[in-house]
Parts: sequence; C-alpha cells; structure tokens
Amino acid sequence: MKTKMRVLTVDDSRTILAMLHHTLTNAGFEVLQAEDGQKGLDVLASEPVDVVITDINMPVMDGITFIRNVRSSGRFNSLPILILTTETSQDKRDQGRAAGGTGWIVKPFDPDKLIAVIRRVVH
Amino acid sequence: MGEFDAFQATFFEECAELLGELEEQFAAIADGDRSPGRLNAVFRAVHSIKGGAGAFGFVRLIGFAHAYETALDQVRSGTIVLGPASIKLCIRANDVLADLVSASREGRNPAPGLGDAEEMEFAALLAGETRAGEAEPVVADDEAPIEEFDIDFVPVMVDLAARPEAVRRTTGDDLDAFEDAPFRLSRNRYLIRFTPHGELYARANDPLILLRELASLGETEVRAIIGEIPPLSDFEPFGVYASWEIGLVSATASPEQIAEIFEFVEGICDLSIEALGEEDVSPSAPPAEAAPSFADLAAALIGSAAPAAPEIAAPEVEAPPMLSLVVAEPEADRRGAVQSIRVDLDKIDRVVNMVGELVITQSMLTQQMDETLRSRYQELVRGLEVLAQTTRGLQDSVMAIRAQPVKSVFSRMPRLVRDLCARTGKQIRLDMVGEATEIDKTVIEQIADPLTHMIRNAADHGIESIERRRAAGKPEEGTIRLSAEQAGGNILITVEDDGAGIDRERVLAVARSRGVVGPDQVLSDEQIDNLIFAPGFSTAETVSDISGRGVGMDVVRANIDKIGGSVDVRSRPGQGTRMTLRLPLTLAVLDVMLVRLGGLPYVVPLSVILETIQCARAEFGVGPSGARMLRVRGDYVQVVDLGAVFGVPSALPLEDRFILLCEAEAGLRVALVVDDIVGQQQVVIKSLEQNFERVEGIAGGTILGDGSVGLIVDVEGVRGLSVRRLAA
Repeated sequence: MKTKMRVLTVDDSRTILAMLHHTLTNAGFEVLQAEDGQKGLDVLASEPVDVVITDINMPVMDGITFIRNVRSSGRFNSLPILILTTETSQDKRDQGRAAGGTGWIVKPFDPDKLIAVIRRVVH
Repeated sequence: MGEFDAFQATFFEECAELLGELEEQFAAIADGDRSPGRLNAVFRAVHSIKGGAGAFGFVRLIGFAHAYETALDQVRSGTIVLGPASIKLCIRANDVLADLVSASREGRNPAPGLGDAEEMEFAALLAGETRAGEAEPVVADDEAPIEEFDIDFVPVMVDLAARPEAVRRTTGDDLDAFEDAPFRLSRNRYLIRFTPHGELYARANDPLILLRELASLGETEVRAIIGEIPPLSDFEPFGVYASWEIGLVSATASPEQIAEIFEFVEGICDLSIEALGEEDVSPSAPPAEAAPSFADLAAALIGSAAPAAPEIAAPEVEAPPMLSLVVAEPEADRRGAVQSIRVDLDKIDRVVNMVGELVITQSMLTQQMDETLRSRYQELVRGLEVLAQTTRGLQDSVMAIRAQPVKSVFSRMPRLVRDLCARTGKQIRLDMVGEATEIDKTVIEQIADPLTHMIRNAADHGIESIERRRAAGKPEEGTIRLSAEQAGGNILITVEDDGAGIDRERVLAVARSRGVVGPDQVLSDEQIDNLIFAPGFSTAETVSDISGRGVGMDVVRANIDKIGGSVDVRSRPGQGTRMTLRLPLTLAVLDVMLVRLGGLPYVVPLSVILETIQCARAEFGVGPSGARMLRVRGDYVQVVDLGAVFGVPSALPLEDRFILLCEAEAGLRVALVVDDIVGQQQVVIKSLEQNFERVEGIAGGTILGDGSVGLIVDVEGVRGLSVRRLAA
C-alpha cells in the first residue's frame, strides 16, 4: 500500500499555513506545520518528511538559516526544500537557493500550480 | 463557513494580532529602543499582512502595505534611521493599515485617499535617503519603482497593475495556459541535453523527477551517458558523472514549457533544448538507443559490461515508512519556543463543564463518608483525598487553559487614545502596565467595551484641555495609565488619569436634579464619585461624539456586574481620577459562602462579603423610615432579612442568627440576615436563565456536594427588592 507523502510547511503566518494545509491535504498529502525555522528543525529531528515548504521572513529563525541548517546537518541531503517567495523578491529566492533550496513557490499561489511545483521535486 | 471564508477569518484574526504587535513594538521604539529585533519584527508584521492580503486580492491593502514595507526594509537595513518624525509617520501608517484591514474585513472600499499622504511621505523618505547618502538607488529589483514627478514629494508607484493578475490566478482559472499553448495537429521533436552539476544534487534536485516531468509532456526516449563513471576504486560518493540526452515528441509542449521543468536547476546544470522540427521531417533526431537501466549503471560502476536493458525503468520509488503522526498546529505565540496547539473554545468549555461536574461528584463522595466508614475503609479515605487533590489540580489546569493575557484588549487602546487626541485637541500619553496578566477568555471578551468606555471617559472628562492644564501648572501632556494585576482571586484593571478629577458639586447637583439622590441625602465623597455609574447619569454638558453617545458609565457597571466583577472610582480634585475594575479570574467557578435560610441552602459570592457577624453581638438601631439598621463602627447599614425576602421565614430568634455584611454597590453596604453560616466552598455556576427563567435577587444556581440545588444570591438585586418592599 502506498503511503501518503508528508509535507512540512514552515511559515509564521497562520493564514498561509491554513491555506497550504487545505490545498495539500486535498491533494492527498499529509501536512506537518511549524511556525519558524527552529520549530521546523525540531519537527525534522523527529518526523520523517518527504518535502519541505518554507517561508523566508520568520521570527526566531528565518528561512535562509533554516535551509542552511537542514543542509549542513548532513541528514537531509536529498530532502527537497521549496521556498515561499513573492513574485518580486528575486534576491531572496537566490539567497534561498544558495543556501540549498531546491525550488520555489511564488505567493500568492494557485492550488494547482502549488501541487505541480511539488510534483517537480518529489517522486 | 466555506473554506475561503475560514481562511479570511484566520487572516483577519492574524491581522489583529500583527497590528497589536506593531503597536507594541512602536511603543518601545518610540521610547528609544531601536534594536534589530524590534525593527525586524515590525517589518515582518507588515510583510505578513501584505502576504495574506495578496492571497485574497485586497488591492489597496496590498499596495499600502507594500509601500510601508519598502520603507521598513530600508529602516532595518540601516539605510533609513528612524527619527521622531518618521516614527510618528509609522504610527500613523499603522492606523491606516488597521483601517484598511477593517475595510477589507467589512467588504467595503476604504475611504478615498486613505493612506495617500503616508505613502507619499514614505516615498519622500526613500528619495531623501537616496539623495542624502548619494548611494546607489534604493530601489532594488524587488521594490516598487519610484517615478519622479515635478513635485516636492515623490510618490511610490505601487505595482498595482500586476495585482489583478495575481488575484485572477488565485481563482484557479488556468485557461491562460491553454490559450498560450500553440494548437498543433502535428507533433514536434526536441532534443534535450542535460548535464547536472554537483550543486544540483546538493539542493536535492533529482534528475529522475525531471525526466519524469518531461515524459508527462509527450513521448520520451532517454539515453543516459555514463561513460564518465569511473571504476569503483576512483568513485567519489558525491561525484557527478552522469548526464542525459532526451528525445521528446510532443503535440503540445512548447520550448517554454520544457524550460519551465528545468526552472529550478537553471544555472546548476548544462542544458540545451533543441527543436528538431516536426515529427515526420526530423531525420536528425538522435538514434533512439535503448537507455541503460539501473542494472547498466551498476554494471558500469563495477567496471564490467552488461547487456543494455530494452527500456529505461520507470522511476518508481517507495515512500519512506510512516510513523504515527503527531501534527503540531502552531499557536500565535511568537515570543519563545513554546509548543502550542489551537483548540476550539467549545471543546475547552466542555472540559471545563465536565471538570465542574467532577468537582461536585468528588465533594459528594467525600460527604458520604461518615465516621464509621472512615474508620472501616481507610484505603478508600486515602483514595478520596488523592482524588480531591487531583480534581483541584485538574480544575486549576483547565482554568489556566482558558486564560489569556489582557494584552489582546490593551493593544486596542493606544489607537483609541490617539484618535481621542486628534478629536479633542488634547495631548495624552497612554502608559500600559501588566499586559501579560492572564484572565479568563470570556472575561477578556466582556471587558473590551467597558474598558474602551473608561478610557474615553478619562480622555474626554478627566484630562483637561491644554490651556486648562497650563493654567493649573500641569504639563501639557496628560497621562492615562492603564494597568492590570492579579490580586488574590481577582484581577484588578485600573484606569488612572492625571486630570481634573471628578467635579463633585456638579455631579451631586445633576444627581439631585435627576432624582438619583434625594434632596436631603448626605453622601460621602466616595459615594458622590460613584454616582457617575448610576443609571442614566451623564454630566457632559455638551454631548461630544466621544463619550456622550447616550450611554454613560452605567453601562460599564452593568457589563462588569454581569460577569461578577465590580467597578469603583476614586478621585482627587485637581489631581486625577482612578477607576478600578475588579474581575473574577474565571466565570465558571465561584468562591462562595454557603448559608441556610429556613433549612434551605443558599450561596453568597465571597467577593461581596465584607465580614460576618453574630446577631447576638450586633448593635441594631432604627433608621428614619422605621427600618432596622445595623450599626457598624459608627455607620448605619440597611438590614435585609434574606429569608423574608425569599419567602422562607426563619423559625429562629434573631439573636441565634448571623449577619453577612456585604458590599452591594461600591460604597453601598447591606447587612443580610441568614439562619446559619455553613462555610466557604467553590461552586460551578449554572445559569438560571438557561435552565429556568430569570428570578430577581438570584444570580444563578449551583449543585452542592450533597446533590441539592443551592441558589446564588444576587446581593444588589436583593437590596433593590427589599427597598421596594419597604416602600410598598
């Protein structure tokens, strides 16, 4: 039996988390949530995850630092990480990729596009 | 509620928190704290509002938040230094933001021109910075372009044109994609050469997925180029050796669509996409060699040749095994690394109710234990003691779940005071203390209106005009201090101003003219001050649009009474006024004194009882109307025989009975005569209105330890009843 894909969503905005949760669960994903990078790391430490979607601007630990920490831990070299960015912030996107981000999702996101983007980084 | 509405509700809830956060951060910034943490927090708050607004297409809100955010970004990067003027601008911008959020929530268009001035000032700030620093233009790729006009201010041109498109996209209307795709009857061939760099793998991109995505566009033939793979002895675990050539035949795919698949790996691979023309005329297409399977790769690795498999194996990957899932839903607490969850209030209330029943059952069990049972079943007794402790612990924990910091209400006040300043022309500073004090959520909801009214009252009637303050030798800026603290089983919320104090002569004159106070009645200063809470009382000579909306401070008292709290005012002429709200920690459980009337149990809230007196030791007198009075340290207090009021007359002589000296209204005392005082306990309040009907003099009911129903005495109501009985 094929088990569901698990997505870890990291964002300090409850609105965005709720929308991601809705879209992703409808598409058959299982969704984990964290509200900043530090909590994202905590979840990764204890839960198997197939793909991560993370915001950049967050309190406690921002998305760039989060990605850098995930990659430098050595445990998650093949874990796809998607960065949530706005259309205009090309520099954030580049910073995120330089830190080890796999791809990006442009906010505000269209549900179908969101799923399509995830399908482009996970099996 | 539809999903979309639910998201919007979440968004507006979050906006309220973020706006509160902005208030709080700017209060500290205005006090001189410019730490990067604060500047980042305000940037984030505005950024989050903009992000959420983007999802719902609140165009004006997005535009303004963007302009504000752009300025804040320069502030946190240090390009713009916040001075008093720019802090004021930001505080005004917070108000605009709040208004735009309200407009969006209510589905109306914001007032025309709202925020335009602030936006222009932000633009001027940015432009000024550029000139002064002679630095590179502040406008980076991600910021709104600034267009120069031949005027003093340079407006920020927010990229509004792009928004409708963004909005449309959220509707899931994807027809555009089809329109863009060229309509073909024939099929096109492409040759794609793809060589990943090490970086591609380091970022968890996976060539297999890209190949699979390509396959979704049409028919593919994939050839892996594995000649670079070294013998195992030279093999580097993270070395990059493989590349691919893909032949794609597709009726629909455009080169752009193919490129899009490789969007994420741009710059971290070598990629060429070559259009080979239409299917039938493409002799230059590469020979569709059988692609090697994993077995080939493995064979290549160990340096031995293996026969090529006829087809590439479809990438089929098993998902990792699952563990049981614990989803942690984050709570809005941005402060520390507190793990939290969001729970429906209904669910908590159910637990509160059940714990209430548990408390009653536990005390019922304890009461069943008579001496014989006690000596016989010591283990049972011990068990019951533990049960009692655990139950109490459980009760406290559940109450703590419902508790919330008063900050959620306090944070609305700075805005209120600013508005009041603008409207009255006064200068008022608001100091807030003890915002972290926690109080039951229901209580918090109930105090927002009274508190607003008290602050309005303090600003409108308390603090004097600038001229009058100057004349009185006071600083022009008046101060209102809003504080919260826990005191025993109560929360005290105090609104204190340094204004003129209550004009007692005028208050008394108005009270007499309205018949609130009899012509010969002599009142203490304290009693006069508290007249402002009397029903229908309002001394404002001109009805301002601030506190004079036809409702006076009596509404404050009524609201606070409803939740079992009390309100009191103390004033010093020329020095100021202090209003204190005394609130119960929780509404669900009440500390009471259990008494008996004609053999029946009644309970009186402990919070109103000042002292208990044996009738045999009390000193009675007779008042002017012939009513019996109790003499307490020189004062006479009205005596009410509770049994007589409730129609359960006492069989006991007066000297065997007891008096509860209670505070009915602040400053007004009443002596309740009861048959017996049983003791103190906690009870769970049951509403009489919901289960029966409203009864004057009774605030509610409760189930006592022995299962009998005890009625909760409404002391103020009882006093009113007995006054009318006397008059009749």
